[in-house]
Amino acid sequence: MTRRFPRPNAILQRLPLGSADLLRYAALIAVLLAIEPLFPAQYQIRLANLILVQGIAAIGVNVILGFAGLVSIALGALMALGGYTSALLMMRWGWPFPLAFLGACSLSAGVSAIVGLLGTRIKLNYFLLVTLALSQVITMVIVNEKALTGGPGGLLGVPPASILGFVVDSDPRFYVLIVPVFVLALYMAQRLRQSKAGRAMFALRLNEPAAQMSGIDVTRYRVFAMTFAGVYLGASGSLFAHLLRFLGPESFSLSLSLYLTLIVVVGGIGSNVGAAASVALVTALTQSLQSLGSWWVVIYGLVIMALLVVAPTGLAGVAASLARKAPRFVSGMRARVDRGP
Amino acid sequence: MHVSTAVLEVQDVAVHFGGVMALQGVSLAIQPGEIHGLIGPNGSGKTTLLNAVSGLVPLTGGQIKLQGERIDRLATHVRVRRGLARTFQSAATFEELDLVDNVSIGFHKSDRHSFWRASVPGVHERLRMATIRRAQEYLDSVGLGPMARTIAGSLPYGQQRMLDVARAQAGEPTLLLLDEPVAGLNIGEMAQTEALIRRSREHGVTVLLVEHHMRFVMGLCDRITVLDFGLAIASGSASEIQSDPKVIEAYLGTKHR
Repeated sequence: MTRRFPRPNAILQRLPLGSADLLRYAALIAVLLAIEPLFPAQYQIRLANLILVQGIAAIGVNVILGFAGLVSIALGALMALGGYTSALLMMRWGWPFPLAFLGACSLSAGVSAIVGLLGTRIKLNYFLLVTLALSQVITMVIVNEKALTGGPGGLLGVPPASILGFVVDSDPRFYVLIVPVFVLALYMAQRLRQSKAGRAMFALRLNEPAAQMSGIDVTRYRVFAMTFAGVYLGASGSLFAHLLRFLGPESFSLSLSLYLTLIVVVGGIGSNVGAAASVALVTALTQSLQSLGSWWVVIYGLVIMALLVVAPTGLAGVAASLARKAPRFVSGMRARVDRGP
Repeated sequence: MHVSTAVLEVQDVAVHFGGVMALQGVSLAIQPGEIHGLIGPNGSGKTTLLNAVSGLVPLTGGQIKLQGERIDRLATHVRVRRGLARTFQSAATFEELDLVDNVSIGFHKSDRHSFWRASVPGVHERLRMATIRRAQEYLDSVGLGPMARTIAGSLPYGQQRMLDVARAQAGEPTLLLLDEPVAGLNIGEMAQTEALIRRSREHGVTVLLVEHHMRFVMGLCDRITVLDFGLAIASGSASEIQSDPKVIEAYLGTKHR
């Protein structure tokens, strides 16, 4: 049989180098935007927005924990820093949203980098305590600087995001904003993973002496990972603030840090896609368990524990082993079909 | 013999861990292109000396020069940039990563595939292919080419050691430190490792290796230094070492006479 049309892969190969990958990410944006009308109600769009906002944070946490192997509990604190910075820059100083957003990303990246630098000068176990300290400091500032932050009562009337006159004041509009931002975040984190910087971070986590003996500067790549993740956590916090239009000290509690860490473990240590998928799965799980009343937390805990026992390598590990088994399964089926009944 | 031309000079190096004197003033010099063996009983300080040269333990005293320049105060990764590479006693692989990633980590310092370049479409793909091709060459050279996309942790022990050697060679070192390169290997793998070390030398690499397998050391090394209780008790060719009464007393026993 002759092939009349070239196969899609053959077309992709003829395109300039790199465009195949770009098309894939563009297709992801297109698909995510196209499914928006399928959401039955505003509530599901709100959930999708929250998933994508948290997804950005989860990818950032994956870079700290899954790439560089650093356990931080200043994750919620960095999101808080991003959220309050971006909200206050708009409310108190009248900055336009894009600049306030970039300001939030830069500030939490800077703070994260400093913590990373302090952390590398002490033993890894104490790194956790440094991040705990940062967490406490940021919470205290938020609670006590009432004039600036609204204190324990929270910050009301956070303005909506707006870009070039497009005011993002509803969930469907926010969805249009967050989808490209999320896909860009995923793209950059995937490229980090595939570059020598990503390899260096994995090397640090898996075998530090061997990494050093390969010429990897431990401090440099720990700080790099912390800075990179700082941008993601700051971005996530800022977007969260402008989605909910309200900020309180409890929005970014210590339990959010633990939740994000759990998300990365469930997604599979080191996998960006796994981290994002894990946010969606865990959100779906908590949503579907809400109807069980106060028992939902118990069942939620049990399901997560069961998941970690059954699949210790997380969603990414499950996907990888399915991908290995699928071709064998298909060829086995084909052989059976060929043999006939 | 000009001392100044030595690739590695260890001068009166002492390493103390609290009250334990792992090395108490060891000196040795390794000339370019030499395969130098370091032997001695367990606990005599062989691995400590490799760690001192690598910068993984701090010196209590003395100095270390690589190609005439002091390196003993430099961080490990800077020493690597100056031309050092090393393998570890128990194969040091990055077990979650595939072999291509493992070997690419070995040429980290000269890898052009940085994050910034990787974020540019087109440039990323070109550099990625270059990295894979380069890693493939090193894998082929140790016979692991067909396994390029396997996860390092799933390799049998002998092949993990080969991978460790490939990773170290990928750094294109002037001085290669090998910590018990043939421990736990079968005869075939041992012969392969020996061939690899000889080939490295042909490419201008100087080798310092720690090993307990005497026939391997005696057959391969140009010169040998014997450590005992943190002191160098002898240094010379294989035959000189084998007939040195101090060495026989401390380590070899009468069988090798």
